Amino acid sequence: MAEGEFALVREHLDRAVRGPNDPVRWGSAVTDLDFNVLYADAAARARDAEALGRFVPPAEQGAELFGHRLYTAIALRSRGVQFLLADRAAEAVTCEDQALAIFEDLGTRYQMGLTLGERARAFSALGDSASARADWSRAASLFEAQGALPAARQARDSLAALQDGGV
Amino acid sequence: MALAEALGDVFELMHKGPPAIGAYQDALRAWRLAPAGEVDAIRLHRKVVQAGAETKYAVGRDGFRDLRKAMQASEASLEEMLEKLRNQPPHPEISRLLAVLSIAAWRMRTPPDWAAARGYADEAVRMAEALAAPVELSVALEALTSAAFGQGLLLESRESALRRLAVTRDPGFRDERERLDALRGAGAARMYLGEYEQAIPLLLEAEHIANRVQAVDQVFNALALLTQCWLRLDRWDEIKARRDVWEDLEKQYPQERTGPLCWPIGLRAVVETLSGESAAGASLRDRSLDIMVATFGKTDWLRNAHY
Repeated sequence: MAEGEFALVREHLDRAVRGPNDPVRWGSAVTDLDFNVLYADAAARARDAEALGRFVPPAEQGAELFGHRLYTAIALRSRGVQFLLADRAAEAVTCEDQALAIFEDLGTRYQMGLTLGERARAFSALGDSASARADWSRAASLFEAQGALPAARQARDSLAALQDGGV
Repeated sequence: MALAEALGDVFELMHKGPPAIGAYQDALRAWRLAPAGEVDAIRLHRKVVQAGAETKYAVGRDGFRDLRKAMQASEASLEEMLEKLRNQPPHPEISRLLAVLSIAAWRMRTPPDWAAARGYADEAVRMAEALAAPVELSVALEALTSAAFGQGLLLESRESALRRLAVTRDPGFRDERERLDALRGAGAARMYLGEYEQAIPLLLEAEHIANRVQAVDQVFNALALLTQCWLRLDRWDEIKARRDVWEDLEKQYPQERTGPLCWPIGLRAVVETLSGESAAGASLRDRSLDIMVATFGKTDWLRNAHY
């Protein structure tokens, strides 16, 4: 996500939390849990450590309280990014492992691809290029099977960069 | 009076709020000329508020402004009547009145008064239980589901929604529209907790019944909820497979009949964009925004609209 795009997302999220909610019949209401998970996820993609610090804890707590498995996994992935930004790559890998196991169980291929990408970055930070390559390769295959072509291209580019000697 | 009320009921079934309210007001005028019983007035005022609350987002901002005065007058009458009726024996119409006041406490107030909504809903449920009246109990449980949701009590909200569904699944339950909405409500409550696999069959059943009874608004509601479940489960093919259904809905019916299409169109925009169809995604995104601005205005959006 580009910096300007995240600023726009953030502006909407900041205004949204102050607005009234309405449980309309077609399901577009935003619970506090939705809000915290959405913000944590957006912050992870934008590499915003400050926002991760604010929103990952309530996202984790809410997801656990309500037994929301998809959100538990998204919160775990965001926590992993938070660890990675704090140079704690081994803990990041552990979080991404846990997130991935949930997404695999749910069969959510796009989310699996995103999580593999995050774990690949953590492996790279640990200097484990072989594991990083394996994750980017699997992520690319999952994105292709999902029909997520831009994400597949990015995963292939990241894989190629590693094979060119990057970590 | 009976004729005007019946006409209002037909409009209400078609999700045509403004003519429904007009017809109920005609019925109220007829009632005032020859007032037979207070229950008739309660029922008519209740239907005015109910039709207005249902229509709020379907008619857009300007349309709703015109309805608001009628609704506020009826709501005030209902609150006044309720005070007089508090010591009367339980009555199905009082239970329905309480349920409608519960909904009005959040939909008609800014900010919503969730505590009042909860209080009215609890009272409505107690009265319907005392009456052993299944349809009224279902209506009251819907109000309780919404009030608990608004209070952030998602587990309790699901419990009420599932209890309501069980009430309407009883073989002796005859109100098919109520059963349809109970399916939708249970699907929604499960969806908000991430129980997508359990929500989907309920919503598919709701969609099927809605198509059969030609409840266009409920087709829209069920399909919008299904779209969100499929999006969360990365089942983009299911969303793409319903493209024609959405286009037909939009072509065949005005927003007043369906409800605002901005939300599902926005979800479809996400899928197109993530699939690399950026032009199609941008086009859907812009249409979604246009509908949202027409419905909610350029500012003062609900939390829902930013999402």
